[in-house]
Amino acid sequence: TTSPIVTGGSVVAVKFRGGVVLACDTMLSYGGTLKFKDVCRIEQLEPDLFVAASGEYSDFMEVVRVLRNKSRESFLHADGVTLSHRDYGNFLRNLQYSKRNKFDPYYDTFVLAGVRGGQPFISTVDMYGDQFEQDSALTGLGKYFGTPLINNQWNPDCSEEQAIQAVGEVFKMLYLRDCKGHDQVDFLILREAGVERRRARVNGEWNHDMFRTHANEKRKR
Amino acid sequence: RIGTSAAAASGKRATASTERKMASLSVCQPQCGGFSFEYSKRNALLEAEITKLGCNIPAARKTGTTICGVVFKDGVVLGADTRATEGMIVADKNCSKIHYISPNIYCCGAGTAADTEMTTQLISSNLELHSLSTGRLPRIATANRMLKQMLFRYQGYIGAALVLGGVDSTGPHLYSIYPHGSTDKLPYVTMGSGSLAAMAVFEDRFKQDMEEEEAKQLVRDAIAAGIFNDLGSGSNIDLCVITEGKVDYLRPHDEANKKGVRSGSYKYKRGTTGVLSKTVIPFNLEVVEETIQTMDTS
Repeated sequence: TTSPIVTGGSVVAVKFRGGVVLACDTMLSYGGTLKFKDVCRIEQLEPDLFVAASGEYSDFMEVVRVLRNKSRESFLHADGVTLSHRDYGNFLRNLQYSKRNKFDPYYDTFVLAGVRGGQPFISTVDMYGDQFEQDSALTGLGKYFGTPLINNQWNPDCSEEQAIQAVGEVFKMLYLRDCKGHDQVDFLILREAGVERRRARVNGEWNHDMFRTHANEKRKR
Repeated sequence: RIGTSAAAASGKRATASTERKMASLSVCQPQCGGFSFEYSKRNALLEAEITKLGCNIPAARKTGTTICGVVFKDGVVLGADTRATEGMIVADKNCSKIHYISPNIYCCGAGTAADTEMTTQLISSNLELHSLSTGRLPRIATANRMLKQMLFRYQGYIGAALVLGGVDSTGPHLYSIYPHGSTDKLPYVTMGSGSLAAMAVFEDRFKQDMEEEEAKQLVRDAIAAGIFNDLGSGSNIDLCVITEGKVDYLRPHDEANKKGVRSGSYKYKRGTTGVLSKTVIPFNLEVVEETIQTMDTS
C-alpha cells in the first residue's frame, strides 16, 4: 500500500507493575468518512500476546494472518518450543523492512503487547521497519498529544488503575483534538493471571462558557 | 543645475534638457509595493547549482517554538520557550519571543523570526499612533484586526504565527493569528511546533476563571511539555501576566535547562612545560578609554 484507504486511529500501550494495558479506539475511517464505528482493532496471536495497529486495516488483517500462521507452524512442530514475544517482534521487523525495500510496505505501525513469566512486553514496528521494545508505545497523533500526558501521569512501575487512567486521558485528548479520534475505546489489560477486556466511552465535554460566541446577542455596553 | 539655468537668459532650452533627464530617471525606477518575485527564478537556478556542488543554501532562522496563552479570572497569561533554530541547529539559546505591542497588549510569535519581530514592531508603532489619535488605551481587537489585515495582504508569505493577548476596557482577550491571516478568539491557544504537546496539557487541565497562580502554573507546564517533547523548542520558559493596569514580564520565569557546572579543572599546572628563559619588557601605556561589551559565554 502506498496510499491507505481504510485506516485505524492511534494505538496506546503502557506497562504497569506486573502487566500491560493495550488500548485503541473502535473506529475505522474511510478517508474522511467515519465508516465503521464498532470495530475491535485488537487481535490475539497467542494466549498471552496481542497485536494492534494504526494505519491501513487490510494490511493489518493480512499481517495478523501471517503471524497466526507462524504461531500455528511452530505449534505443529510439537516439540514443546514456543515462539517468544521477542521472536514475533523480530519477525515483524524483518517483514516490514523487506516490504519497504520493495517499495510495497504494509502501511501500519504495529504494537505487540504481552505478559510471560511475570515480565510485561511491548514492541512497536513501523512501516519502515523500525522496531523498538519499550515501556510504552504510542502511534499516530497519539505520539504528539499523548507523550506529554503519559510522561506526567505514568511510570512503568505504577499500579494498574493509574496506567488505565493515564491511557484514558490520552484517548480523551485524541477525541478532542484528532479529527480521526473516536470516543469509544477498547482496553485490553494483560496480567500473568489472565486477560481482561473493557470497553469505555470517553467524556469529551468542553462546555466552557468562553467558547460560546456572542455574535447574535445584543452586546451590553 | 536647475538654479543656474533659471538665472541664465536662455532659460527655455536649459529647462527642457533637465526635464528630459528627470523623465528618464523616473522610468528607471517604477514604484510598486508588496514583495518582488524578480529573483525567484535566479535563486532556484543558484540553489540547483549549489546543491550539485554538495553545499546547502543557508536556512531562514525559524523560532521552532512552543507558544501559548490562557485567559484567567483577572486577565491573560502568555508563555513561550526561548529557543531559535536555523535548520536543525540552535541559533539562539535565549531569545525573547514575547513581543511588546502596547502597555496592555503583548504578542508571542512563532514561525520565521524576522517576520514575527518586524510585524509586531510595525503594528505596535501603528497602534501607538492610533491610540494617540483616539485618546484611549488600545484594544486587543484592534491589534488583531491590524495584524490579520497585514498578513492576509501578503498571502502567507510573511511566516508569522502569533498568539496575541491583553486586557482592555472590555476585559481580557486572547487571539491566535495564522500566517495566512485567519484568527481565532479562544480561552486557550497554542502555536508553533510544540503546540500539540502544549495543547495536550491545556485540554487536560484548563478550567474557566482560574486564579493567577493556577494559570501561571498551567502555562508553565504547557511550555515545559513543548520544551521536553518537541525538538524545535527548548531552553527556558518566559511568562507574561497581563491584568488590568499591570503587566508582569517574567523573563525567565523558569530556567528549565540550566547548563551544568564543570566538576573538574582542566588548567595545566604552572611548570608542566619547562621554561628555559624568561624576559619581561614593561609597556608604559596610558588608559584613554575603557568600554565593556558583555558576551554570552554559556
